[in-house]
Amino acid sequence: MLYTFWEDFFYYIEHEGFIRIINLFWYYFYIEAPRFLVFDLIILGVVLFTSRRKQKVYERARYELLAENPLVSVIVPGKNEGKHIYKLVKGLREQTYTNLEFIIVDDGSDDDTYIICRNLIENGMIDMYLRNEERGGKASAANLALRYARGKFVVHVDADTSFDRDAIERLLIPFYVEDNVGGVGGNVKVRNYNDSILTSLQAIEYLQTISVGRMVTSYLGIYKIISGAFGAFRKDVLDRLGGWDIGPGLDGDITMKMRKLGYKIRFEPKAVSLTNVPTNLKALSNQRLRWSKSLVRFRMRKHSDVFVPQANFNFSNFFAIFDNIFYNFILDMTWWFYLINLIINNIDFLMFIIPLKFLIYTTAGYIQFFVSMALSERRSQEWKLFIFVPLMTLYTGYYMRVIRTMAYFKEIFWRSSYYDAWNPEKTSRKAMEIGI
Amino acid sequence: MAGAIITKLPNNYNREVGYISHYHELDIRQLALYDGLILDYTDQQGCVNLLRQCRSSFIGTLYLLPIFIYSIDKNIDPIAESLSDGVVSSLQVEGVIGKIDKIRNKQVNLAAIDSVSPDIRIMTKVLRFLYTRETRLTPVVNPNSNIGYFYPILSEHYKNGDLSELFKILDDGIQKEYLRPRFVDRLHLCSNCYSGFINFRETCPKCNSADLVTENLIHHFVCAYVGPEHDFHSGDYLVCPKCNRMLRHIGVDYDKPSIIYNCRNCSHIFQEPVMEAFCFNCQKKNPVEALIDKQIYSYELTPIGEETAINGFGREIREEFELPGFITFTTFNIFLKYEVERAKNSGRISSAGSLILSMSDEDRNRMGPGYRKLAGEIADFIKNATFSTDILSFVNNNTYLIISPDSEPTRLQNLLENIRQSVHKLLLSNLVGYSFNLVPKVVTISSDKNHSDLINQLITP
Ligand SMILES: [Zn+2]
Ligand SMILES: [Zn+2]
Ligand SMILES: [Zn+2]
Repeated sequence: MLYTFWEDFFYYIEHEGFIRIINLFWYYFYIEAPRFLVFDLIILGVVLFTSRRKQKVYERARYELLAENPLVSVIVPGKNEGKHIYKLVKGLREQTYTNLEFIIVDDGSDDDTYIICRNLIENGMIDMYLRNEERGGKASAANLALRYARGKFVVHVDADTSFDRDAIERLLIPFYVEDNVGGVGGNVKVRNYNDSILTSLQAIEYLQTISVGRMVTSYLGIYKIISGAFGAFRKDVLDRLGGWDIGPGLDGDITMKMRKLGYKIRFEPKAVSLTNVPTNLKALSNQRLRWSKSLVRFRMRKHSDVFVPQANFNFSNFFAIFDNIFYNFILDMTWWFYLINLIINNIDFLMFIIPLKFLIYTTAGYIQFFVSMALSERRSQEWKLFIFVPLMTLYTGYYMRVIRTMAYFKEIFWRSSYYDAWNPEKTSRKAMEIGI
Repeated sequence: MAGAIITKLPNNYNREVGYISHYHELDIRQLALYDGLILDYTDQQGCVNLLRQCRSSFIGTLYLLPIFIYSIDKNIDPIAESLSDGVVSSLQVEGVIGKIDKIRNKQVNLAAIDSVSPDIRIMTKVLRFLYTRETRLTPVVNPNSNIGYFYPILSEHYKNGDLSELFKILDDGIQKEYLRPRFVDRLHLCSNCYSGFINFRETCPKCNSADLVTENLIHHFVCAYVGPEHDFHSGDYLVCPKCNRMLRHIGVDYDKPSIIYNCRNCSHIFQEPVMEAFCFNCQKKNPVEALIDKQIYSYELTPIGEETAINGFGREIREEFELPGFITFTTFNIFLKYEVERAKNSGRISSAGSLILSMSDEDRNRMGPGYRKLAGEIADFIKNATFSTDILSFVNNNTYLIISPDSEPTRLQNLLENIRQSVHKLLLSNLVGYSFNLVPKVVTISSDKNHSDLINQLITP
């Protein structure tokens, strides 16, 4: 029985021929592979060949940074993060870069944040603790910190994030490598990758989309999202922008606003932070629904002007958003047609097509995984994730697509992000009123 | 200036009532000869000084002396008024004689007290003042006192420096149930000097400076900008510095989520200033939570307090122990009073008696806890030998008291003698090396007797 299956399987492939197979899976070979697989390989090549020259520039920039030793404001806006704050502050005080001021903004917490922060202030472990009795939303909390920050640079961190000892130092170096850098995104990896299969899958996803994916977009000049978990900004540029706007998706929004002003945005893979990801499907789905809604709300609505040829039209901004919208939104919609089409036209051969598809994606997944390992600074721990790579087909190929599609429909037709409890009602109402 | 003259005010009440208008070189000892005084308020200072001198004396005839203030139009200093027995607007003795009589009649009941402890002497003064006046001890607002209040009689004995002692004696009065408190005010006092003259101020948690400026924070909902109010000032309007929109309606397009403090000394930014309580009196900087929280009460004399006012604390300062079947001394007093009243109304005769267990202090100390056992055994004897209608009490750890209603003194005399002999026979053999005596006393309760005289006879060895 099994023997006959494989016999038939290879017969099917032989019979169809290489070109027909590629055409059958056109979606992957013409659209996905060039964007993800090919660029991953290119970036690996670039990194390997230019590493020595880059190293010199990098060392000089580091020297400049340490010679100037500017004050850096680390801001932590958040609600009910009491359980993370002590560990966060303790960790941040271990940084190799030491000219830091710590500002915690408590956005209407009802846990023990207040007691913990009072204690930290009394012991001189943080410099400022600001509190809104009533929640104003994450953007307003970050803006409050920004208003009173004194540093030349502002490092935005999430309370549940932890950092390599040299993370902040490395995050600041790109400002000294090139002129006109407005913001630098740090690398975000998964701390709890061992918790469940779901967290392991997210760890692989983060490696591919953040660690490697952002090296690619940064290299192409279309890097567009400095993660709120760990990113650095020039304080004067943030002031010019008036800080953050109402979220969700405020990380991507502020980055886009900087790009529009003509500032470069860079990704620094060696500035590593670790974060805990959702451990169950429900929490993960909620998180991703929120992220995907922000694509519609911010890229397609608020920043739709990048598509309009006008005075400050800029190709890299155009591509940054186009890439984002095309590969997430448009292809997501067309994928369903592709899938239905594939099934209907090859209904008799599904028994062959399904394993074949799986095989192709898994092979590609392994190639991407090995690229990310080659580029990773902690591959000795991460390589063990390779056993989960085959499951990634299900995770990114199906689960994530379903979630994204749901989010897009909800946001396009019902503007559901405005009703998300993530923002306080008073601000969402206003944002909706004026359409941002 | 003319020397002091005390004018005797003529009256038909057989009372010596003096009037004083010139206070210069007045010797207060001669005042003890009067039944009451009226002080002219024209020389306010002299009048107040004399009042204070009298009330701060430890001589009963002076501090309990009925004193009135004579003034026609002037407002009387509330402290002076609280020390006096009232303000009169005529020099007619008729106006004051009622009060003088009342005080004098009560004063007659007071037993002599010979304590040397200042606390006891002061407490006695307070209790007796309240008892003779049938009044409450009511604090009067006094800006010159560190605690802001003046207690008539009592406050005269405590300078601003030892106000903690004043509270101690009042608390002691509550605890011993002489006084019953009623809430008047709540004070926050310096932990160092008990002063209430305190400046509460907000200080910088970093450098302790009080040089702070505060401002409201404004949150503009639409653009998420948050900053201090001055960021938004634009002429008479509030305009958002980020998005240039005008702020129109609090709660709708913006709100003020909190207040921000800016330290002008070290430029620290914060929202939680440290509250500090600076004492003007001793200049100590107190943390607010270290301040002493004190209640100010007015005080009413309890029946125990009244009893103590009359009889003093005597020897009962020593630890008192109770015996089953024996009522407290206070209750005994009430029964005795009741018996005297009954005798007055019915004309019947009852008798009361005591057995005083006398033993040298040396023997008693040597005996230790055995003394208490001995007292208990004697009590059992007494209980078995008396009628159930007899009222028994035990006081001063050595005196057994008994009221025998409707019985002749001779019968009680015989009874007590019998008890004395039995106790000697039965107990002395067990107490080799110790010597003790049981002394019986009997008094007749009749209509012409005063109950406190009776008590004094019974408990004096
Ligand atoms: Zn605004
Ligand atoms: Zn200060
Ligand atoms: Zn003081």
